[in-house]
Amino acid sequence: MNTPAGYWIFADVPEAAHHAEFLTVEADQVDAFAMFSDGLSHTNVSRVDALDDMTVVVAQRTDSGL
Amino acid sequence: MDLILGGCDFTVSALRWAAPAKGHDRHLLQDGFVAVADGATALVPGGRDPGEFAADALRSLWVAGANSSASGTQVWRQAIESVRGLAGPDGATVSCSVVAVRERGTLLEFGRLGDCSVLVTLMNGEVLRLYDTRLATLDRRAARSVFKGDGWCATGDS
Repeated sequence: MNTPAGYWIFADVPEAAHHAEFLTVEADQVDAFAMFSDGLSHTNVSRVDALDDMTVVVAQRTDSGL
Repeated sequence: MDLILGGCDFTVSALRWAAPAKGHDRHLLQDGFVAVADGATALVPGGRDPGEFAADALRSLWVAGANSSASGTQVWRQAIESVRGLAGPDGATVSCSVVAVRERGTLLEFGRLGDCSVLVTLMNGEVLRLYDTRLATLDRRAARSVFKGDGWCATGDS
């Protein structure tokens, strides 16, 4: 195991890939998506601006005709 | 910036801010691939920069998954194997949480490992979430042990 407290993340142990979670959808059914670098639980929301980095990536369809 | 994912057009924006003495998040925006990583500092001094490793991780995922028919698990395993020598010395290994989407033909495959997350809104209004459901429990446990008694962090429940 490659992480603090037995928490699998991306490091140097290939077995971690088996703990990844996936979701597959047809691209033309997607309107938008937003990715967050942190989990946004209620505790880290309260400290994110002070102690942690945050990155948000937002993608919006532009060819849907809506 | 404008990207094509699974044959569909998207406009993609990234908002990033860095906490003091951190700045370990990275993102990668490419046609067919969008991802965010949160670099994690090694538990002991001597590891490499977590942000640099996070960038390596995203590049490895992009390369491993581009035009590949392999499953998500296979792609992520291949990506981790390709950066094994870059995570730093034993005992000071850096790591990162990752969320990514790659195109597989007309499909979009979202993947997550660690506490990064993604919300997907479908054309029919349905919202799909990919996140670690254990996070709140782990976070509360950490908050209790680190900040117990100082009233700084409201844990919400016990």
